[in-house]
Amino acid sequence: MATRIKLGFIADGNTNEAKVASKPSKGSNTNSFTQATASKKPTSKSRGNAHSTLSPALTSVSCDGTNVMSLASTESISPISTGYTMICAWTNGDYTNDTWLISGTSNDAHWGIKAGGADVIFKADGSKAAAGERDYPINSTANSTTSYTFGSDVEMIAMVVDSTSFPAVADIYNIDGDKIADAAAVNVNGISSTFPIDHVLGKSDGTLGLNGDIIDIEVFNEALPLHIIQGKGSTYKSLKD
Amino acid sequence: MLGLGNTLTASDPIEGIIQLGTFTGFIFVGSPNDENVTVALAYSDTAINSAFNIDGVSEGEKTSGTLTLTVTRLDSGGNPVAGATTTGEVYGYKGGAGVVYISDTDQSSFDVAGGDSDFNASGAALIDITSFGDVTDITDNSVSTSNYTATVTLTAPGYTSASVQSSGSINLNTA
Repeated sequence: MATRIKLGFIADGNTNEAKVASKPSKGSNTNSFTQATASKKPTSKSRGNAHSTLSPALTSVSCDGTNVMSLASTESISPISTGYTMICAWTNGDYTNDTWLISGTSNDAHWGIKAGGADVIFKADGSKAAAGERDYPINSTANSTTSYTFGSDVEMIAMVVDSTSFPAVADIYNIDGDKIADAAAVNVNGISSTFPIDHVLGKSDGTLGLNGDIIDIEVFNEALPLHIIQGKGSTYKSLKD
Repeated sequence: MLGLGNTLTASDPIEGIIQLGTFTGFIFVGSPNDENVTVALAYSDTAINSAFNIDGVSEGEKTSGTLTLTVTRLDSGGNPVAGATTTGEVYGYKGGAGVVYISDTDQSSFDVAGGDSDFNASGAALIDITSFGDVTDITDNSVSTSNYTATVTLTAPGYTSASVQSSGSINLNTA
């Protein structure tokens, strides 16, 4: 078990307002996410210039909804083999449009947030109807413990997917460690398929990107337990100014 | 000299001891390297500012005051793991306004702004909790991520002490 992808943006030493062309992963995958097109590169915010919701001790990387960074080779994770956990943290989020946080080139597979910030979206790597984009409402307690809507302060989303046994688990948590959606209960189609990771922050064409300041992106090839998810949330809360 | 029948009273604070305020933020987060964590204190209290003797200290230079950092690994129930607490010599370095970074590297200064500096690129000037303090290694190599609490205390001659605690999950990728 290990961290497959680890992209931390709160201790970058880049010059303020510099465009980020490359970001190396610190997980077991040590390749860099890159972007060659200037208009699709996110923007560094140095210490003291990060978004006002963050401590002045930190840096961040600002995204305007048109940014995306990509791997040269796909990182695939199979929830049937080991389960996986994806964690993204950001602040200053604007959810006018859909936001693809982590995505693959193949069949536009993605995990993200639906416009409005009240739904999580997932599309499996497949071309048939069963692999179509799914919508998991989070502003109700129909399949969760907490009704939630993403806002403009520091936020975290954790997708914990485990198909190593039956039934499959696909729980989604917020920064408080509260379960805000149960993707397996709402619609399990495609959840157990291998997920290809090629892009972060947005779709490969520079659309449907995060409109906010990214803090962290982590992918684990294990289904992290709840106390770790809660610990992650506590960590991100401590970053607030 | 006190004699029988006399009463000694102390009605005023001890002169010369300045009350420190509170820290407004304490960051303890894994970054940027696997084996290191970033530890930073934020404050707005003028007494803390004075205790660190920040005025006249350039960004990245070591500050005054003695810092004690205790890091404790927690189990899945949030309980401290036996023998997992360590305290060691740490040093404060000035960051931006109202921010001090803590390191276990004793040097006159380090580059907190340069993109290729130890602080930003390799994390060498941060806290390495796999070898920090008086315990060999408080981490659990059987898992990729553990929860920790961290407490830091500032002491400086002529001041009271000030402490702050933070908790969170640190991913050290040690598995």
